Amino acid sequence: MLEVKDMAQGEMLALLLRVGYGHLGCTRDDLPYVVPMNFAFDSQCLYFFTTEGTKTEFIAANRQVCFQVEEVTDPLHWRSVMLTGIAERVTKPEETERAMRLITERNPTLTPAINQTKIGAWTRLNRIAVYRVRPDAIYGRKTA
Amino acid sequence: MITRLSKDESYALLRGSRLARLGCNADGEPYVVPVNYVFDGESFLIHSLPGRKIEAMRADPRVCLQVDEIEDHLNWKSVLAYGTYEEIIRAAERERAMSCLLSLFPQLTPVESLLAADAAAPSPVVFRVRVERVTGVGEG
Repeated sequence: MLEVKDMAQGEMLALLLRVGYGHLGCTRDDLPYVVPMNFAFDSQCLYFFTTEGTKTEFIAANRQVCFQVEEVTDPLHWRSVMLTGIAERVTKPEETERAMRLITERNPTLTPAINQTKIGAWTRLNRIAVYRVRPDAIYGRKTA
Repeated sequence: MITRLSKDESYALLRGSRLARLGCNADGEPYVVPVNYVFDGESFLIHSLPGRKIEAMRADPRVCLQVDEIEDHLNWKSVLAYGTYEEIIRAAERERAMSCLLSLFPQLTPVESLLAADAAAPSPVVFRVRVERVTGVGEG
């Protein structure tokens, strides 16, 4: 029998710390937009980056975003967490570097050619926008 | 390099997968949940228990469904289909839709029988999203 229940806070945070890939949801003029995205969570905030383009335009139009992260084994065994909050552009160089380091540590194949010590320069050169989301709510559901 | 997928490539991905993320507008805020679906080339067929996403889509039926196939960061495809939420209410049509979903997702059957046994339990909602626009991008 497929029973779905709410996840405990600890389980949701553990999933966000363990998984490095999810889906960002935005709305512009109330139209939804969903894209796959790598991220990192440091127990306080979620960080992600993107190049300047459609995503940065959506976020500029409405900074209220959601981030959905799941672990699906099969249709009978899955858990899914959704975090909502305001996406804030990270601008300070030291915070940008820290966020990029966290994201690339969680996703080691993301920037294979980039030495971790040069990540700040790489970020600036490639017009990368880094965002921080301080969660205002986290929800989670899982199969029993 | 990131390239646009052709219409055929995008539709092939939608037909080949069973898992999408449904995005909708919940009072001006984005809301995203994973859903299982059936796609017949024109519409998505989806089954859900009533809850926040159903309430949100009844209030604003413009939704999107995102489907991807990701091997690694250099080899991936992501398709976004935009459409309108239509609840399937007529009994005969609902039954047809439900049996189509249940044939693909048999694990839903116990939920259905559980609900059938409990008169107070909420009835699952069956809905269609007729695709109006599709965009796809990929790399590798």
